[in-house]
Amino acid sequence: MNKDRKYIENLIEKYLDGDTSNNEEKLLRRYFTNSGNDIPDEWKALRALFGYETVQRKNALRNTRTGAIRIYIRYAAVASAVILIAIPIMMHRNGTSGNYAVIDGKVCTDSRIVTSEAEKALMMVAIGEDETFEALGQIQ
Amino acid sequence: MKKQTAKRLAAVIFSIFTAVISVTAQDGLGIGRIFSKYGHMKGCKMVEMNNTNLHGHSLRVYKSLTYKHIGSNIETILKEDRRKARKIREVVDNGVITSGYYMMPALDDGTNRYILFSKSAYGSGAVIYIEGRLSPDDIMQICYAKKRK
Repeated sequence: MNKDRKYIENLIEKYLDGDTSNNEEKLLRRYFTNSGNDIPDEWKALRALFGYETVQRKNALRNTRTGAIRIYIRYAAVASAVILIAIPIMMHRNGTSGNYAVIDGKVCTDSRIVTSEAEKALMMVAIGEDETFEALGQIQ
Repeated sequence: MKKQTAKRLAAVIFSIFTAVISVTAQDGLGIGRIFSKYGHMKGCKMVEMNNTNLHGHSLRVYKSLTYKHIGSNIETILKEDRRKARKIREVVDNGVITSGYYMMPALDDGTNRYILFSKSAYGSGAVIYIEGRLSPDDIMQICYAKKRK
């Protein structure tokens, strides 16, 4: 017990000189957290200090975790919103019910008109057999 | 920190949105711009059909535009696609290309793409974009089948 006290006393001196390592500080915190009232009166002020440090560390860790969770929730919410908007658009572009015609700027979804206009366009680009072999026909 | 977070959020939203919205095969071609620029114009008629059947052939995409008075603009854009075409078939009348089709590079899944076109007098004409598992012979069947009738 006295040995431990001596060791702690040395650590306290080192701490007050700013020479303690992270592990030594951890040790000091653990000691003051677990020792209860069984410490010399001159160390009670130090117990208050290490107790304050411990609480601040816990709060900082909690805030970091909370902050990280909040950011993830935000990202997830944004991604979900984008997907909810994008799915109907994709379905409109790629779905089987996406047939339409635009005539003079006006959209029409009547399937008969859509098919009729499609056929008319196809008629315009159709290449006649006559045109293809016209040159052969002129060779006499 | 908050500004950085906001910037990252904005970048994530933009990239997700862009990736989802902008994926259509003809958008990489000049003809995609023709449809978007002139499809809703007065004097033009645009048709879009998806996963349809035309003259016994299954088409994933059929998109056409018939137009008036804007032939020179259409021609300029079509020249870009002509340069990228794998196969070209054209009818030339009096030194002027009047109709034909371009077989464009296929999509990654093997779907073929074709641009059919025809030019008439006074800047009018038609362009058609077709996507599907059709061979050039199938395209010829579609074109010949119509004209004979």
